[in-house]
Amino acid sequence: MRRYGDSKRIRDSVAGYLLVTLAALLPVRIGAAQQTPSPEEGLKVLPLTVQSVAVKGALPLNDPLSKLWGQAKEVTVKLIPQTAQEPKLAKASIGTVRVRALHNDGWVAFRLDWADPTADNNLRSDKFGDAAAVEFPMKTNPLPDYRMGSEDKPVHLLLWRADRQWAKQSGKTFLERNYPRAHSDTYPFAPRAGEDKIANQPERDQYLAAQAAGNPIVPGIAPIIEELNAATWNQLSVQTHQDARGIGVHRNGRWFVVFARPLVTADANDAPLPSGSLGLVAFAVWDGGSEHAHARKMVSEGWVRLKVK
Amino acid sequence: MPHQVFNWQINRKMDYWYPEARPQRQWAAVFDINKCIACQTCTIACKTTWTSGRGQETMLWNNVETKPFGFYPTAWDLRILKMLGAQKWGKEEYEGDTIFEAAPEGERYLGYRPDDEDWAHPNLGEDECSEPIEKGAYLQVPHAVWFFYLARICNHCTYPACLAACPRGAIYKRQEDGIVLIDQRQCRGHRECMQACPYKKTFFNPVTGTSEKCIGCFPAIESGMQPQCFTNCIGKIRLHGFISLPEKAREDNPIDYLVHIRKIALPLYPQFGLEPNVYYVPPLHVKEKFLVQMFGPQVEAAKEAYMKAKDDPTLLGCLLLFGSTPRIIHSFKVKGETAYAYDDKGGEICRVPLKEPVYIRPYFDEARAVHRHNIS
Repeated sequence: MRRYGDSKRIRDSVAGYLLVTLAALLPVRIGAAQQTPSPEEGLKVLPLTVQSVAVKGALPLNDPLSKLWGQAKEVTVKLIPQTAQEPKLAKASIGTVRVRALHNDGWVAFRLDWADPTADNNLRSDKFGDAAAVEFPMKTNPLPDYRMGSEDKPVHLLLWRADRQWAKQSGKTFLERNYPRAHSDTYPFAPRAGEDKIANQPERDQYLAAQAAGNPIVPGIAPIIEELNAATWNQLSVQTHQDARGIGVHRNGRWFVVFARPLVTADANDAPLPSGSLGLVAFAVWDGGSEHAHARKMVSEGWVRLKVK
Repeated sequence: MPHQVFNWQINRKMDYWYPEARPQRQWAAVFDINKCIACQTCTIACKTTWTSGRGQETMLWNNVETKPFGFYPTAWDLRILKMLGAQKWGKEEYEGDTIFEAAPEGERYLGYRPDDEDWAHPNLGEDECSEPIEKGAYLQVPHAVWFFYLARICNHCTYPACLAACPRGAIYKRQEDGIVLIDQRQCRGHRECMQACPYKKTFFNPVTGTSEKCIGCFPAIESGMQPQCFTNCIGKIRLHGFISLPEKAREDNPIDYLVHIRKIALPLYPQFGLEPNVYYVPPLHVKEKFLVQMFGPQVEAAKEAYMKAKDDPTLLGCLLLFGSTPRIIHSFKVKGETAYAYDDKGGEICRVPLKEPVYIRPYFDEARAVHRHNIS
């Protein structure tokens, strides 16, 4: 256990004073294994390049196992636990992610694959879905912190979540999935068998507050690949225009996930990536089985160079 | 990095994720445990008003559990107490660690997330006594064993752990009344709030993918009315109002009077460090050790003052205003044999006699030439 800040009781006690002094003299401080990285580390550009290969015709946007991916060179990116912001990830779980990229005249697609023996795509109070994200700087000069950007230097994110994919593909709720025999005497304004489902929609929506408020993350409504912008840890916004495409497949203990986006759009919140350009990209992976979520994640060690030509 | 803030309930500065920022006024409540019969009318009033939608099936923003063996979710307080470990109250202040100060490396708080099944047994331990009853024990007074009912809602804490924990800043405390809300448009369902809240009063809705919690019936508050679980309480155990800081306590504010001046109502697990704003009149018949752990070292003094309320017109009058009106009582006074309640503009809301009038009618009704029987 660690005491934050300037504790009055420790400061006022002789024992506390000795403890603090002793701790300062120790060559390795307790808890030093998880020191907060410096701001400069967020600007690190790794000596790695993802080279996107040009393809004529359609990209395999909905097929992470397409043979076309074999045309692209694979780059292995090391992942480390996120430790820049509390809550930090205490224990590493997924060590690397393999990246390939293809593009055509209009789109660029990334395929990420990583080892995860369990396909976690369930959602209930104690279950978390696997996920991954691809991040682009809105501008490369000055370069934003690859760890969710910074207040004046935002980033553009593509987020895939296995649970949202399950909800979208199955058309079911997680309530039905986890408790198929659950019975409730009545739901207010719920349609009875044979009734028009649209009737009383506004009244029914009141009992699904997040949905009524227009929260874009509602399972079944949220896209499989979600486009967001971030301007530091707690400044996250879901884009109004959702252009991204993609899907994930779990095969032989690995996730294979496609993230695709138009190279250039009219959306000012999309990071421009014109054909022929040199850009940067960063990656994050969440292991739902280890209860990873939000800042509890595995991240690349910095920006990775990206060539789209 | 955490900031230093002052928490009057533990009478010292402590660590909190954000700087001290108290609202203009703070939503608060006093629950008189001695009057609760666990009829769950409050639970149903809340349930039918706010949480009868899909994904809210096991969600009880208000619940009433039997102590010592009742919990919702299962073992919620035992688990966090065990994680926190043995701590100490000093004479002047709490000398142990709060959940913020006991945060493990890399975390903002000390906490745990219940399993899904933990939300499935809201009546666990209901009406179970503290220990087995010996043969013949029911004849003894006071009883050798005990249990009591603990009605719980969100404490709308001054230093909410849920708010500190939310990585997306989707939880906020309203400046106008201190109510703590999860923004249903911004929440991304990370459930960090569920892990952080030691009272386990945030819930996950698997249909919308977001966390939800008690909203303090803010539409009622904005209209000058008390929340649903207060106005529907048939035992009249609850009083809603606004609490001041101890040094600014007003004698005519019923919440200030009970909490700061007479000190008969105490916060639940103040040692967690959240400055919770639901205050409990502790149950008279329960062992002190258990109550000190739950409500802090002022328990015996609170019980003593409460016991004398029958000879204390102002305190008695204040207690009798519980459940006397659906409107928020901003001030009160006791004059003669009557307690008066007033709204925020000083207008009288209601008046309550300190003693219920008693009418004794003769056994024989002369007019009808019949005997009266006590059957109607």
